[in-house]
Amino acid sequence: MLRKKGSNLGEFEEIVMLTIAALQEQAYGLAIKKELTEQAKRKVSISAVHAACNRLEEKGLLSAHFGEKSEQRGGKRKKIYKVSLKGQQALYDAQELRMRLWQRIPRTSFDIDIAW
Amino acid sequence: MVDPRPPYYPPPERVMNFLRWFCAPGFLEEVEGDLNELYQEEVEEYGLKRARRRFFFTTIRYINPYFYGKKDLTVYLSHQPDMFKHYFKISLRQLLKQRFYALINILGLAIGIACCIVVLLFVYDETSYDTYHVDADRLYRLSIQGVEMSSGDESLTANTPILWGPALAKDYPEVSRYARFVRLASPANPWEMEVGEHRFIETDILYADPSALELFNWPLLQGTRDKVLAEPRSMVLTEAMAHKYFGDENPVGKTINLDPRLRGRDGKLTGETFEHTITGVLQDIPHRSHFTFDFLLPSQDLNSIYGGDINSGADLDSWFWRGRVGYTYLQLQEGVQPAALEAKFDGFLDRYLGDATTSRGYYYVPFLQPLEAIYLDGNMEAQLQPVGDTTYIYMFSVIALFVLIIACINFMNLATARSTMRAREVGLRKVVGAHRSQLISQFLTESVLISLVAFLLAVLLARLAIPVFYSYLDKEWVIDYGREIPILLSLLLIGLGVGIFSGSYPAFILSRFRPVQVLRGWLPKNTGSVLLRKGLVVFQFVISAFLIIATLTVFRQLNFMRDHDLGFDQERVMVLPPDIARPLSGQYDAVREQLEQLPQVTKVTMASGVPGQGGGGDLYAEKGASPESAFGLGELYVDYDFADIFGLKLLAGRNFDPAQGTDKPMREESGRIQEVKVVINEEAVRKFGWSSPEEAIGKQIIRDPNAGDWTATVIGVMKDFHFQSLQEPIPPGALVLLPEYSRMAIKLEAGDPGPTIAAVEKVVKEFIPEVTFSYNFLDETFREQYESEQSLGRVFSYISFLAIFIACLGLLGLAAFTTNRRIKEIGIRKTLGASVSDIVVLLSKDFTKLVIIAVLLAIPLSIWATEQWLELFAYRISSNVVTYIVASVIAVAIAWLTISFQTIRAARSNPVESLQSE
Repeated sequence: MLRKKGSNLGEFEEIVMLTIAALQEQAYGLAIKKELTEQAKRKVSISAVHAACNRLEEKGLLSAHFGEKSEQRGGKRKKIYKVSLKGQQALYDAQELRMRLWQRIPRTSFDIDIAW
Repeated sequence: MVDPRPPYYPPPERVMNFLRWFCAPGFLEEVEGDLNELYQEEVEEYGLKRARRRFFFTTIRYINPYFYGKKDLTVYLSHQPDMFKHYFKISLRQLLKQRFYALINILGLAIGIACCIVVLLFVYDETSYDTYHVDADRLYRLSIQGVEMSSGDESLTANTPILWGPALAKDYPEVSRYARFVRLASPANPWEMEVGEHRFIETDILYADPSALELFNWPLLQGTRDKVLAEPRSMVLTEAMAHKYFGDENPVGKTINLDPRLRGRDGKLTGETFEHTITGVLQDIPHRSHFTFDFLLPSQDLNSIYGGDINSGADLDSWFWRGRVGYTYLQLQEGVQPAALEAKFDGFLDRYLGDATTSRGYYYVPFLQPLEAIYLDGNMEAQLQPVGDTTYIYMFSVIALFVLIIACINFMNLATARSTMRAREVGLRKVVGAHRSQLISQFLTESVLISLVAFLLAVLLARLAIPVFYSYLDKEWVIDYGREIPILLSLLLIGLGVGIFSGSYPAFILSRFRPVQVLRGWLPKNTGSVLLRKGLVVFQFVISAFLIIATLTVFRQLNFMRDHDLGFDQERVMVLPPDIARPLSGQYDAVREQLEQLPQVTKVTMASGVPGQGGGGDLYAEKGASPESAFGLGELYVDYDFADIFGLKLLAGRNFDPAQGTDKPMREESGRIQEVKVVINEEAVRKFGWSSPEEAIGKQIIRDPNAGDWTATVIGVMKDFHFQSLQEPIPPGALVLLPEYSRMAIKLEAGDPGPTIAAVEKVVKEFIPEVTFSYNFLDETFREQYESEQSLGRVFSYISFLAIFIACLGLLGLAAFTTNRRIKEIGIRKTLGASVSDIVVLLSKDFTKLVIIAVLLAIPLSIWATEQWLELFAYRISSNVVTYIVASVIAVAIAWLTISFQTIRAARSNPVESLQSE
């Protein structure tokens, strides 16, 4: 299956999208960052999350709408992301690709696995 | 009541503002909100101070092209090469379409830049003398300032007594080393060098201390630095000389026989020769040195020539301590300030010279001259070689800059004037989406393109002009590409800078047009820039008129000096120099008799000097007056008929007369001269304070009244005559009847002097066969004194020509443009009955006004500047209204002539052609 260049997901992008899917209606920048820090146990800067989300949105893998204003946010609205249909497809594709590749691995490749 | 809502902490405003400025607006809502929220949490968690810091570091992570508006930027960058291609193409089309204006611009700029290149190279050349030595900053030349006590006049001399160097090095630990150079050979007294059967005449020979090659690190190709001059009768020569004498053979160990043509006290050649063995070869001395040489001989050989030890010293009264014969260079210890050492010189002089430093009406102050400053410090006597002149450097730099500015103004004026023509283009470009910055880059590309083409042309022009320019300055141009390429590169930057500078103004004007207005047919009036344009034209012509006046003044002064009555007859006087005249003086009467028999020779005389060459002087005071009243009186030792040959006029008394029998100097039995007769000039009469020439007759004056030299009786007073160039005032002077001659003057009759010269040479050779014959003509050598003024005049005339030429190019362009714009007006005027001359006057009126204003401004400026220059001359022209009128007429006439090409053509054009189309 030929893919258009650019619709391949990067590792970080995939994690971000999965996090967004998990967070559902609460998927805005800071929340994504917190969830990532908690689940993946890695330090993620808020600017990296913003950059990734916006790039994914430009590619059409995410859709976004603005939520409610709050004083805590200095009167700014939340930008809440949702995985678009195209994004869902991309996540499935990614997962499927992995599965296929996993299945193609002969058992003997992982000696340690057998010994275990 | 407690507010149920959590408190709000406003994040640091400045950081936030930066973010708002940097981030593309599309991201701001989200980013700002999230950062705000994060900050609130962090304040709770870490406290205000840490939270603020964390906020700052979080925010700066947004500095990346993506958040800046990555999309725009990448698009912008990816289009740059195409845009440049486009700018380039459009610029080229513009240039080709507007060939006439492009030519004017390129030609003007090329000439302007070429002037700058030539002058910059010259300035670089002049200011980089002697900088190539290691530790050059610790090297100083010991020079002497002499002050005449009666007048306070100061004079600087470069040479010093031979024993000062060693004594200074011995007494002052601040001096680490010293080296002396002594020159015996000179162009007037060349030496002969002999190898096998080859003989060469050489003049650039210096005696030098062995330390010379350690102080000055000229690369030594063969030999050891500290040994080559250590042995007596050794010799170091330059590569070029080694090649000249020995070809490709190794010269070290070979011998050269040297004939210094030393003369005994009787003036006869001693015939003594020295055999020197070559011990070392130096690379040729760089031309950017304040002195160069071909041969170095060890200084210890001077001992036998001088008859005394030049290192350990002699009697403190001897000339080893007092006569200025050598050039002393000192290397100071690191960190020693020259002023600190100079402060101790008083003690040094007291110890060794005592009262001698204040004898003979002068006192002497030695001082240290930094090596690198010697070349441009000019105005010193007894330099080893002619040095540079800072006046020239400043003058040429300013003028070259002016010429360049004139060319830049052309560019700006033509571009802004024609801006209306391109208004529609600008409008359309803006409509299809051109940004203002893109329009600016397009116009800048155009001007940079022009300046680059001009630069290439300028390099060519400069290459052609440099040798000519240098020959006018009487300097040698040495090509050194390693040095020139960096200069050319920096000049290229100047060329680009000129393009950007002169292109930026029109670029900003043009890019400002409003598309709606210009496309609707509204043309910018830009009255402000019209005024500026007129101002710039005036400025160009101020400079041009100034240069015209300066040129005229220089030439008027030159003519004045050439035609000025010098007070003596300088025509057809042949002068034999000292190296011929001195040996002849022994057989004076016989030589004269033979020479006077030659058909064209009218009179022959001998003297210690002739106007413009030679002569000396000493202190004189009236007999009975105090020795302190003594002043310097110029002396010429002459024969009876000196005044006749030079046509000097007597005002009172009589000339020397052999018939009187009493005019000859009276000597004591020891041979010391006791009394002489003198004829003094008017200036001397005034200086002695006598009321009239008649009163002076019979007065007695004493030479060097402190020591009590001879007494001189005044027998006549002659009219003042110019013994020196007209830059100097006529000094008090006297003719002394005394047979100590070093020049022979032969007065010829009118006609071709050729055969007589040959005949004179034949006679001279009969008496002194060993001498190479040479001669000069008095009027020529006297005129040669104005060499530097003449070259200044020539350089000025060329540069003012160039300046006017460029200014006129600009005027031509402007005139072409304005007449083109008014072509319909002209058509209508002609159909209504205007004549050709009416139209020409109409079109020329505006420009004429500008040129006249410029000339009026230039006159006071040039009066001031030329007065400064004329101050240098004791005998000078006064400011003259005629000069200014002539210069004004020239400027206006040239301007008229220039624009007449355009105006007459426009005025003669057929109105039908200009009116039929609409």
